[in-house]
Amino acid sequence: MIKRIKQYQATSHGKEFWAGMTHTLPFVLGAIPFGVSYGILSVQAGLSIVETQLMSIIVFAGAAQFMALGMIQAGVSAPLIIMSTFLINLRHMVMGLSLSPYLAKTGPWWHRVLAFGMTDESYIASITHYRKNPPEQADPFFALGSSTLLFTGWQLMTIAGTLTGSSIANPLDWGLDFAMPATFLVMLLAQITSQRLVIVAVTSGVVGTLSYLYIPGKWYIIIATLAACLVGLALEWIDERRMNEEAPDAD
Amino acid sequence: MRTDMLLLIIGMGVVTYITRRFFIGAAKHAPLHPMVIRLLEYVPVAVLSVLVVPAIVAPEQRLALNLDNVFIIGAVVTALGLLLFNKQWLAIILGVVTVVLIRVM
Repeated sequence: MIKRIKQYQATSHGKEFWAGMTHTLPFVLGAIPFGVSYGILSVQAGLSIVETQLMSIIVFAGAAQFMALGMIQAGVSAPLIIMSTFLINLRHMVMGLSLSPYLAKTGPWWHRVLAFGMTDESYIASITHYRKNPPEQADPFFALGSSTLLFTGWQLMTIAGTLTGSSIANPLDWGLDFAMPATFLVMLLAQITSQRLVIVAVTSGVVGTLSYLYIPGKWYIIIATLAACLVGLALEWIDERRMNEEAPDAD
Repeated sequence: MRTDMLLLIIGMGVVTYITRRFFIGAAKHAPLHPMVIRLLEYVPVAVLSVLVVPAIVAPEQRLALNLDNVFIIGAVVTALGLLLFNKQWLAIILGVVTVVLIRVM
């Protein structure tokens, strides 16, 4: 074990860990108003400071934590809150699957740790970085650095929220509620590198908005994700067929 | 610490961890089917778009496709900011400042 750790130190893992942190920094910026608001709103919803922090440590999923606060205040039963948490987080399954080729050489402990730390932000930072090289070259330290920064940041933001409590106004009421959509929009635009990806994004946005408005529960995220991926695959298939038809026969 | 709250938090934590852990080791034992790999190519864009678009066009759980919806103006400014300056943090700040200023005015 110690020998292994020394081997890691001797290589470029430190650099990758650091790169994971720096690539994630802009996304942490956008999360700050939300993290602080979570702390403030949680205390207002009747959770103690310890309970609020424990949720940030154990669950570590912003959207689910916010949703839970609303449901706790509305008096919704615990099993239903847990079920909704599962639904809102179903996208993680697809995200994990898309990371898995890059983690195929790493051991189960890496999978456990990186799974625990996988958020939307760390997933996007990691997958973007890993796709630049063949999967065998992916270094799990990058994802670890990204998750470590987000986890630490999320805890500090929660503390800042619970400690200020009602002494400052909720940052979301100042207009900072746009910080999260703006952050994710910037992440999205950086991903759109082809015409096909434009159509995939539009599909996900339209299907997502419609199912958000008309399907009760938190199904809309996974529905739109799967629909948009299938549309992308179908477009790829159509393009290939067209190219095969246009290409003159080689025989 | 209330026991029921602790159980709720643990329950939420367990189901969240299950979703994150479920497939993350999938490619370790057998390589993924080529069709699956191609499908996964679209996951980042698909996930981000469903997190972004409803939040911008229906911020109060109602469709608001008009300029009274400050998030739409904010989104345009953010996108233009990214296009012009090519700095993610700057585009985010420009968009947020725009929304705050419109609300103040």
